[in-house]
Amino acid sequence: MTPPSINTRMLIAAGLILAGFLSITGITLERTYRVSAEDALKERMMIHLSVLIASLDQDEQGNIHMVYALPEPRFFTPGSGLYAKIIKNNGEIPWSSPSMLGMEISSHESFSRGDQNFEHIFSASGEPLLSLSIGLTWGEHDAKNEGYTFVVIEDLGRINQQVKHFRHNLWISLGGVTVVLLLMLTLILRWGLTPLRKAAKEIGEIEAGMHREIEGEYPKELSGLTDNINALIRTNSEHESRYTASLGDLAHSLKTPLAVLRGAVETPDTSIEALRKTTEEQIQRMDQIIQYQLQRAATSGRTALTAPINPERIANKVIAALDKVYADKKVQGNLTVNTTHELHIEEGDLMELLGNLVDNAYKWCQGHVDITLSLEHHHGTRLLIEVADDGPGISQELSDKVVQRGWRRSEAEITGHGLGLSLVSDIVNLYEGELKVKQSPLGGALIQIYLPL
Amino acid sequence: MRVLIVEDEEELRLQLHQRLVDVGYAVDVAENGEEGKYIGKEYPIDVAVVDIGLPNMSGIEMIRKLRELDKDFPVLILTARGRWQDKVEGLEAGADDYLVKPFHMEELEARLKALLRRAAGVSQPTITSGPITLNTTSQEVTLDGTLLDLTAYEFKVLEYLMLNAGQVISKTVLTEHIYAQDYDRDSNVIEVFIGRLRRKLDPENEIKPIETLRGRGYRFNMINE
Repeated sequence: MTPPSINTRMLIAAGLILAGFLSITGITLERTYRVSAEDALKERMMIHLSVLIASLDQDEQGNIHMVYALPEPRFFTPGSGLYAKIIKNNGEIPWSSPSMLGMEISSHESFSRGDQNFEHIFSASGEPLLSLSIGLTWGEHDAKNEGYTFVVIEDLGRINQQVKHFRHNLWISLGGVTVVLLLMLTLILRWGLTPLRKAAKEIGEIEAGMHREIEGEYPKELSGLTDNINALIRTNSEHESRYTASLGDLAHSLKTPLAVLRGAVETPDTSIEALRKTTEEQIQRMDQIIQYQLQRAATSGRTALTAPINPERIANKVIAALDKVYADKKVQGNLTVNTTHELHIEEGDLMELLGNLVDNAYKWCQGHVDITLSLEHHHGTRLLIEVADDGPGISQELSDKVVQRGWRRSEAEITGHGLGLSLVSDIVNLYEGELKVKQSPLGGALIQIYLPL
Repeated sequence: MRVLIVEDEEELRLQLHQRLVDVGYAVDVAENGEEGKYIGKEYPIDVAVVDIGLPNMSGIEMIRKLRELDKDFPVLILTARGRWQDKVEGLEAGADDYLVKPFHMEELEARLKALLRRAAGVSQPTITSGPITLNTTSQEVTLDGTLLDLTAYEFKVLEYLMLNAGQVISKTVLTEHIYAQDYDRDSNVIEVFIGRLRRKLDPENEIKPIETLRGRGYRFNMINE
């Protein structure tokens, strides 16, 4: 299964977060609305109760009378949803509002003077109601039986209806907000991911051979990637042209020895001895050509993504290997390391470079080889590799040729001692370094290689 | 001396086999790493020639496994790719020398001789003990400067004893290092060779170079001036 696209991931994540966030908002808003609606209702009920109390008075017999008419018409309309009654603490009900007609509301406990209470109750028919009860006495009578409990009851149906209505509107608008936000997010994502899509398209076009590299301008988050891809493509094509050139050179230079061989075979009275000699010579020639051209093609060169390596580690490996190979000669190979600086070079190339240099030194020395790694600061900071031996040294003629940049070797020159050095020279040129051949203080050759870090 | 050749290319394997038999080696051959590892593990090999580009188990892998099994005979690797990375990897795995293909047979022989001498702790191509001088390269033995006429098997026996001078070598060990296959294990043959060598090296029976340790084997005692 392919992993979900960045678009899908972002939308799923944003959708989940929005849903959670908006649900909590919705629930909180709804609850707050309900509380404030009930608070308003309670306040109104208090006013109704105060008006009711103010409209009554007690006569000498202790009976209560309606002195003023109640201003609220709902008390007089049956089923209006607003009810009131007065309960004497001995259980008598001296007054109840006409709106209570036909209503059965369970009797209330008697409240002592000053007590008041809101209570959620249900009518006999099961409708939700809110009742406010308050205990009162007339005058100084404090006896419990003399007290009254005033009750005002309001139907909660209306308020429930309001809350329901509010909830409906609330969820519709929240849903709308969610949809709009997700749509905007989709647009933002599309805009934000445009460079990625563009890069993918450009890479596709490179694959199709329409472009050579990624050309567009990219935001800084992507430019590192696209620059590296371009560098990779460039290295790749450099490699490719080097391979092609090497293959061409290889094929061409093999033709000559092949022609010599064919000539020898087709010459009628060539002796077996002469044939053997010619074959042996030409095999050696072909071997050297192949060795040289293949090693040249195998050299990687600096790429954009070459990891830095520690030259000391490679030098130690090469010296350990050569100590084994030249065990009989008992060469004193000394490595002096004056820098811990790392070098951006392909490991195989550095090994090839050091292998050829140190192998030559071991081969030609009498017993001493000094290898030194240090930093040099004349032309920018560069790594200096020095290999010195106490052998016969290198002829002026050969060293002149080797240090010449872009020196094209004829077949005759890529033999023997010069082969290793010419490969080294190739690698050094590839890394834009410098090669010097000098007289070593030990008496033999001193090869100096400068490589940019 | 017993040499193991591990090479997958048949023609080259046959050429190497023939050539090394011709110059007096007991030769075992293997065409892949598994087989090479088995022979290296089970037989008393003195030196091995290993191509590193083998199918299945690479030559480098094979050498590494043999070294893990404490097999320390010298190994010469053959490589078609001349890259130093390959050479260093092979030498790190436990090989002792390398040769890049194509090579001259003389070069291969010289390297094998050098490896065998090195393994025996001898750095010169000649081993001298008093009047006896054995040249591992020219395969000649001289007594007081006079060339001795030895057969190939007599030379092999003497070379093995001199390269392992001071050590007791049983007849079985001698047989194993001189013949490739489980040839004729009849120890009389070895006794005959030793008898002839003694007559040729020490006609007057004065220096007694080869000592017999009854029931254990033979020992070549170096004579130092």
